[in-house]
Amino acid sequence: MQDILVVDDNAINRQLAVYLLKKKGYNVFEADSGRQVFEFLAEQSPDVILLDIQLPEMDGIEVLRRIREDGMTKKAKVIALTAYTMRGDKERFDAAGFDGYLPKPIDPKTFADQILEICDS
Amino acid sequence: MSRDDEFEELRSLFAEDLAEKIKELQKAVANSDHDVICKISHQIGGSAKSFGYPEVSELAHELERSARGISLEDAAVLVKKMSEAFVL
Repeated sequence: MQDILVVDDNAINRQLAVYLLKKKGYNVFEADSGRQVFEFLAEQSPDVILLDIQLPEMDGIEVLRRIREDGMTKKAKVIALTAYTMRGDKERFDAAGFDGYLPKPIDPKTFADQILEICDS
Repeated sequence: MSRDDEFEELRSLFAEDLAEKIKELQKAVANSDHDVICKISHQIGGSAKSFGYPEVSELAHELERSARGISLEDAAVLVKKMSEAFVL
């Protein structure tokens, strides 16, 4: 795992994730909307996509659906990074086809390790 | 800029943004705008703890969970608590 795309429309949350992952030596890319994700995937093939759910225009579930339907990436693990943490939310994201689920707020101390854990499982 | 400075910079940006969001929440409560209450409390709940404000995150989650059915008085109390937890 080397290249990670962080998708979040909140710039400060996104920058925190980018900061924590760069500190661990990953190549990190950013997107703030579904449209930017699709543009990115037309050019590059990340190993992991951290995808926020509450995004403007098109939510993360819809973004994932299009990625899968259009075969935009075969290799990327797509992880829901979300503040939807109520009972049943994780199951909802599993059913939508996410490879993993990381609840927000993220813990800066364990964030990178949690991603590794999901990717290794 | 060192890595730690970068985190402090982010923390400070976050704190400014949080102060604004709490004001927006106060307005939304005054306007009985449950959609906005729900949206902003979701955003705050999903981030404040990461920047060292765990209590603010908890209060925001509580507000989000109850946003649809909460009385405006109770919502105002939660926002006030949030604001106090942020100052501390």
